[in-house]
Amino acid sequence: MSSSLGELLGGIVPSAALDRWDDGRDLACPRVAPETEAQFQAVLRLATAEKLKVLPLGMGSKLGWIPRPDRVDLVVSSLGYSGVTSHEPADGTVTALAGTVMSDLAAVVGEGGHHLSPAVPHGQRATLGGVVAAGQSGDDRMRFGALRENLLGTRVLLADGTVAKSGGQLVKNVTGYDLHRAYCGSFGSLCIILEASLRLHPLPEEQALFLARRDNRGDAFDLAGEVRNALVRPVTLLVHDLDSTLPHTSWTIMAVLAGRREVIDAETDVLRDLCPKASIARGSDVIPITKTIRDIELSSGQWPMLLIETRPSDLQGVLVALVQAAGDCGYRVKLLTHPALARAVVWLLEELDQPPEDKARQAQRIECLHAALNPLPLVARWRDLPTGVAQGVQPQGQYPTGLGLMRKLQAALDPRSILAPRLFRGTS
Amino acid sequence: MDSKLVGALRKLLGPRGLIEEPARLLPYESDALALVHVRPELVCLPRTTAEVAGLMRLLHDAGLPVVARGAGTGLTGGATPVEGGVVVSTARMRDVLEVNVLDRYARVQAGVPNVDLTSSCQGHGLMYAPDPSSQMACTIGGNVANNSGGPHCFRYGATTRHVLGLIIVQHDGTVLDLSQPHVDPIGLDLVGLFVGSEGTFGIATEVTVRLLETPAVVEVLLAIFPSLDNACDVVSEAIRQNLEPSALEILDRLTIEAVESSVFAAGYPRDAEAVLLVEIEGTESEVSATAKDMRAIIEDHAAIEVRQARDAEERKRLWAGRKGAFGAMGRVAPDLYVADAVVPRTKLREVVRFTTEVCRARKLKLATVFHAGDGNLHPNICYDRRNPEEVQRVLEAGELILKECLRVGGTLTGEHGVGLEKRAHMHLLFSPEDLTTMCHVRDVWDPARRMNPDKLIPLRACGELRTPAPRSTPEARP
Repeated sequence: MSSSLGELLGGIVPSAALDRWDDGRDLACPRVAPETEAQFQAVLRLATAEKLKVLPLGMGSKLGWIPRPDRVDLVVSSLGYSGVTSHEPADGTVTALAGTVMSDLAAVVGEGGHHLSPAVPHGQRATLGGVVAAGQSGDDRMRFGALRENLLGTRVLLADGTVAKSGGQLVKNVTGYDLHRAYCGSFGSLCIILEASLRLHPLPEEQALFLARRDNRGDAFDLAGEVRNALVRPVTLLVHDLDSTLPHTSWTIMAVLAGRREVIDAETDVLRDLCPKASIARGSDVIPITKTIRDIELSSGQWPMLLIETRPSDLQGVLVALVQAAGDCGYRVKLLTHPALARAVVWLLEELDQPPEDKARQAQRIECLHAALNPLPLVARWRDLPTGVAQGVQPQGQYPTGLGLMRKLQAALDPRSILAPRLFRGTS
Repeated sequence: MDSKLVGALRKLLGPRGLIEEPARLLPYESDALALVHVRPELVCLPRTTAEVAGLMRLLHDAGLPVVARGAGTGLTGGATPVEGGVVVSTARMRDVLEVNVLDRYARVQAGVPNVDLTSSCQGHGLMYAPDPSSQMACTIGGNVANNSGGPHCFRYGATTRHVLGLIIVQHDGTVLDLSQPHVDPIGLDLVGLFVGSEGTFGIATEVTVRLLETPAVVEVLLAIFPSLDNACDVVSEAIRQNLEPSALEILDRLTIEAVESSVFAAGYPRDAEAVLLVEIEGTESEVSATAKDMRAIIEDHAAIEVRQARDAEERKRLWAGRKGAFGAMGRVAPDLYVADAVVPRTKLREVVRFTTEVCRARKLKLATVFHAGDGNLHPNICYDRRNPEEVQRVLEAGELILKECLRVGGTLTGEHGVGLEKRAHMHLLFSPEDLTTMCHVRDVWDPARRMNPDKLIPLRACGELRTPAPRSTPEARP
């Protein structure tokens, strides 16, 4: 296989271990980085001919969001296929190749006077193709919507080497099926993203950061609710306890405002009246703080991370139950919550005075927590699950309604099952 | 029609749920694409998801094609029946099931008119944003099928952005309950995939929609121009400057005259070559800042006058004029060919000039109304379908306008859908591989291709057997 790939591409990247799935086994596997559409097609056709299992990959920052594939024979990287193919500032759209790094793309559209949504954490470690494949929205979604709402169209590579597009590059378009809505969040199980078009948003003239602190969660959420109901339109509204150090708790309410200068002037006045003791930073002070929060959100550390989604009316009750359940399973938690979106990122912390856990024990505790969360009105998505966690714990949350239809779509677009990723455990 | 099948449907749906008599089938022969009409064998009017599932099972067993229908306001033949087929109308599915104020969503049956959904939320300080011009009649289910837009989708996005969940009855009567409003899809985004599928994937019976807060402040400006060019240039400049009004709508002189002569009269100046309706919503500071910048642009582009609506009543009247424009055109000619195309906002002036010239050269009356903020044009060509020669000129003009839109980087349809009307043009935008991929996906949802067959995808792309030609098609006419 290697020699065939070498002939096709004029050389291949040497074998590299897929260390994202660390179970002690060496997953040495050829990795190729095609640079043209024709090369991508040739690779997939070779894979079909040789019955290989292919893993599409950007920078791999979201590999831990889906179950580990049963088998990977070839990694097809998008990193050789990058660049902006169309940028229409006057029309507010951009199209770029899948391997384009998000922070680079944001810089390009910024020069055109636009903000790129999604504003993803670690933009320098995320590719456009990976973000679209993962359906990853940013912390700016409160103002700008989810990624799938800003995705105008895609060009993709199907498992048999066919290149197909859906949608387009216009902000309004209902021509044909929105297949890109299915591709977005498919994690490479339906196709390989080659190119994507996004709607852009005006770059704000000014930003402001509102920060307030409260000693307890209830008061913090109350204030967040008041901020939300005030005459402001935050880009982001967060409540977190990341700065807490036991035995005290400290909750931070953070709102990022962005827009016209006179609008920010008026909104900061409203917030100052609402909470006179809050700190309100303007201008260049805002960016490092928001970037830090953004990068914290999805940093993967030694602790497995949980993403909770529920309804706004259930959020506080769910969080109380979650903290209790986590404690019962031996975890402390830290929370980063988007109250308006009813979404929370949960860090599960081992007790500091305990010895490091072995993986089996870790898996057991996660299963304990998963079972405890099951009855609650929430969707629990797991990131970077350690190996050995039972099949019942699905990274995507749970088996969805319509799983049968999803499998049929997968089979229709990849009848020979060349693409390795699977969204749900137990569905290979 | 098999009498056993009819009996089973009558038993399931009740006497009011089935239409068989030819005279009563007449209104269902077409949607608003009046050029094409096909009499269905039956029309079913279920009241619940369970009844839809039951009738779909029966029709599946009988192997009959099915066309779903909301209010029949579609303009591309999406709800035109197929020969030998059955229409499933959601006209009796009009319940607003839930308005959840705290969680900001509503659940409605598919037959709920768009305007009724908005009305049911207003008392809670909430609104449903997509507002097609036909919102007094069009249904939420139809909006889902077409991914409908409307003037305010410039700011808020089209229907797909506001659908949180669906209950779908599939071709064989299977009920797919995707109605829970999750923040993000679990697995594949089946809801997003379904929206805009024009009835070819299944029938949505219930829709969960996002509700937004009613804006605190709303301002409407009416800018009056000596030419369409000026109005178009204002829109292009506003986009270039990254301004964010909620809606930017242009009406030309002929449209203004028609509106002002109708019950929708809004006070538009009859001697204006074009008016631009600008709506700005948000907080007080946002509205004030945006209005100031819009006025500056408008005045820079030779506006004769800028009027500001004094109160809610006047705002409503100005909008009624815009939304009544299509209906008002009935005074100008018996029939209206409503084109729907989208172009980059930078190309507005160029394409509007082109459409004007094409119609002038063919001695056709053109009334242009469009969602300028999105680059979504509706060149409306007036004609009389009883004049075959005029029909031919209209179709020719429509074809040229469409091709010009594509030439400048536009697309086939911004909100009306492909349906029958633009099915044959899909190859202008999509390759055979693109269309084949769409067919593969369609076949997953509907393996027997009975759901709204002959719509959206060109027949040859799916290689499907051609169904008997309807009585009257654009292709069939001289």
